[in-house]
Amino acid sequence: MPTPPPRYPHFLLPVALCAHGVAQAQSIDYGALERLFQEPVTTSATGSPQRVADVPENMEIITAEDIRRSGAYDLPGILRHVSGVDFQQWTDDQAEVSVRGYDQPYSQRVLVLINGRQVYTDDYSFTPWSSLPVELGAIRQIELVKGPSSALFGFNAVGGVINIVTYNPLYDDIDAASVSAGSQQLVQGSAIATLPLGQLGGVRISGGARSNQDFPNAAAGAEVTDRVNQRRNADLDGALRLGDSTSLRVEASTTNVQQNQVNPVYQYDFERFDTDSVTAQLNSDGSYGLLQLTGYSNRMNQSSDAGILGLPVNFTDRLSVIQAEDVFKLGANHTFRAALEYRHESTNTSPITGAAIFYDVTSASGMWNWRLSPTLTLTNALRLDDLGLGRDGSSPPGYPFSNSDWNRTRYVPSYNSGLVWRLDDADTLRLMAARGTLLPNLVELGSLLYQVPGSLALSGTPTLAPTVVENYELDWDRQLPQLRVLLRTAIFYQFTDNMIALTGGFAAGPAGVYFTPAPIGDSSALGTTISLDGHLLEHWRWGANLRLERISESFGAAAAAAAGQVDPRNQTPTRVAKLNVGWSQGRWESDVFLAYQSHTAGLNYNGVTGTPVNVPGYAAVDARLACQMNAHLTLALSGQNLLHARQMQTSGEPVQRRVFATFSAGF
Amino acid sequence: MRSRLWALLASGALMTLPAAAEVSGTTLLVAARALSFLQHPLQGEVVVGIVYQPENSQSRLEALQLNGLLEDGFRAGTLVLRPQLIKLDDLAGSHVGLYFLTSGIGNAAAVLAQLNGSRKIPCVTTDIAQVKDGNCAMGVRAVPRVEILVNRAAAAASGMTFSEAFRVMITEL
Repeated sequence: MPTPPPRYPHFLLPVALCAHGVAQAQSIDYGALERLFQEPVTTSATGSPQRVADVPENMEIITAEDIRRSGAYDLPGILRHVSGVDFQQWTDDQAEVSVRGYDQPYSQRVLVLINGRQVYTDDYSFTPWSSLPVELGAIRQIELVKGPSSALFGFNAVGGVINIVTYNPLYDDIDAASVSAGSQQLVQGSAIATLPLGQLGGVRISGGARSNQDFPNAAAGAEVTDRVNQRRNADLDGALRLGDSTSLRVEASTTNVQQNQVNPVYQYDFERFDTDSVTAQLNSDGSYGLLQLTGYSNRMNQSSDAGILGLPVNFTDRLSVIQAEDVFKLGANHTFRAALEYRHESTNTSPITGAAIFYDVTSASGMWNWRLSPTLTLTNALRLDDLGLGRDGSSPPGYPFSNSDWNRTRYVPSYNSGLVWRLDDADTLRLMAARGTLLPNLVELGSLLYQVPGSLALSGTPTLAPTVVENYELDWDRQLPQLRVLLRTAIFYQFTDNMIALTGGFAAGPAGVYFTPAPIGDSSALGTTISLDGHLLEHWRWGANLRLERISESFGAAAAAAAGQVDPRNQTPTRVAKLNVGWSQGRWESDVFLAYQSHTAGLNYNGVTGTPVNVPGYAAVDARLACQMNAHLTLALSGQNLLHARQMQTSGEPVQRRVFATFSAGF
Repeated sequence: MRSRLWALLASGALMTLPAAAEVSGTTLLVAARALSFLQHPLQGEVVVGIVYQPENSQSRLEALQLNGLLEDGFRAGTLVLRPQLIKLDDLAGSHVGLYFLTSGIGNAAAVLAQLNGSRKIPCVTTDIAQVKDGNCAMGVRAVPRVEILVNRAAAAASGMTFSEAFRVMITEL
């Protein structure tokens, strides 16, 4: 996606103008830093504030303007247009997103956060996008890091990280509302209101609701697809200025979602997600550095009718995190980040209840950014996680494990290392190496528990080791100012050790054999990306990108037993190309997005077992046309998958063309 | 020796400004925004002392450009900058809230650093060599990429303390 000079939608103009004022030097004021340096600013690469051109990562910043002009009504719809992002639309409201391949239902390899708070859930290790408590109009920018970033974010940041940064009510006064309606009986409303409290701070409240009918689905049957997808959420975000250099931000959110889903074994299901979270963060900027103390608590209940292999499941996932970090500069050329973190995570067993699987993780991490010369910077980050796994509660008769089998400790190191060389004003080279860790999820570790004596028995297993992803990468960026174009290229090699499938293993006990998750083998990916983003004449902007990637697998016997559920070589397209063209003039904005991907394969669950399905390569077009009716009101027409009424994009049911209108107001 | 080497490299990195740097409104805006990251930022109406050498054509030209940009009051948020032309030889008698040191003055600008040791007034310039030499605390460049260079010793001498979020994003000497 292009990263143009900051431009503001008309309804944000008052914010932009007032924020052009002098920024009191407090915690990170993205807007003030962005206006100063004339480019997006991020903390998602190293934990330290950096200009996006300087980060030792392959990174994309999706700005508020990009979000608005995407025409999308949800987060995956925005991300599908971004270079390097894989996108699979399984149902109307379930889309899976990954970075550089390895996409699948319940995509695991991208850690997703909102303002640094994890919204990725650890029960199945995935992100239920509809359950994220954020309105698109409240987002300042979406920061996408490609490749492992576990040294900063910890477990599960292996394929990439998506950090959604919302406007800060301490600095940003956002008031907006929108309603959308369209095909598939889509109705969506969104409202955001900010109450500035002068020098004291500010409070923002936002909320939204959505309802729509899913695609027709022969495999799932009417009992699933005739039900209405629904989403409701509310978020309260307050920031309090405690002094010239200290502020406190407190956020509370809740979401309620019910929608059709395809689960990790490719089975259609109707699922409910109820989430609540509370976050408090203290920021201070002084002679001691940028000090940040954060605590948050997430609860997510995920329940389904059919669950895994037809069994209803009901998991409540609880996560509590405490973090302390300090970013400081020593001398002129050395920036450090030191951090400590503790987290407690637990999920109950289901469908057989009475027990819970949990782990405690104590982590220490550090980052050293060394400016070797004014044009050469070396960044090294290291993190050590000390994980203690456990289980408490009862077990069914004849269970092959006892609670003590879960009493395991693992010390897991991860690192990120990057050399950034600014050759001149136009060229930047990046050489990077990283090691990240994907933790077996709590379902795989034992939360899934089912037994019919003498018949089927399912369980997680405590013996699973983490999946380790290593990434080696060389990037070259070149500015072409005469053409107003940014060229970005990358070549990467990624090795994944010890991949895990949800089935494929066995554990024998007195009551018989339990089917369990299993390590299935290793995988490696070699790929390259090239992207161009530019502006043309006065009113045009455009982008084009291509990713070529080839994945190989070295799988053992357990992979065959897992029946192709995990098969990145065939599930990842070898060629993905995206093109976008946008025009804006006066009251009008128009954008078109084209995406092409080569053929893939997957499974189609027919009620008993998964059947391999080949998915032909396809092209899809999204578009948006908007008219600003006056200083406050905008009417937009959007369309997704416009080329065909129904189109096969995954091994599941074909997706439908969607068109909708959005009427938005900003003040 | 080491600091001089760094200064040399830094000036190279900042793509040494042209001999007669044209000061634009964008440059001025970058400077004003950068000053907002002082721990005690300038506020309200501030008189900018444009320090120049009348006999130096480069300095005189830049002073006139700056004066033109500021004469109606240059606004950056709540900060309003107003100009006052100050000949280098008249520095001792000046009373301003901010110095803008024009380009091309060379070693003669050392008088500003000496004077500022007691006055503690922020100084900004587009002449990176003056930052390198410690005569002015902060150098700015707006194109092709915003660059900010701060001489830590000169900043400390003139009482300029920046927020850590700003420090980690700029080049320091």
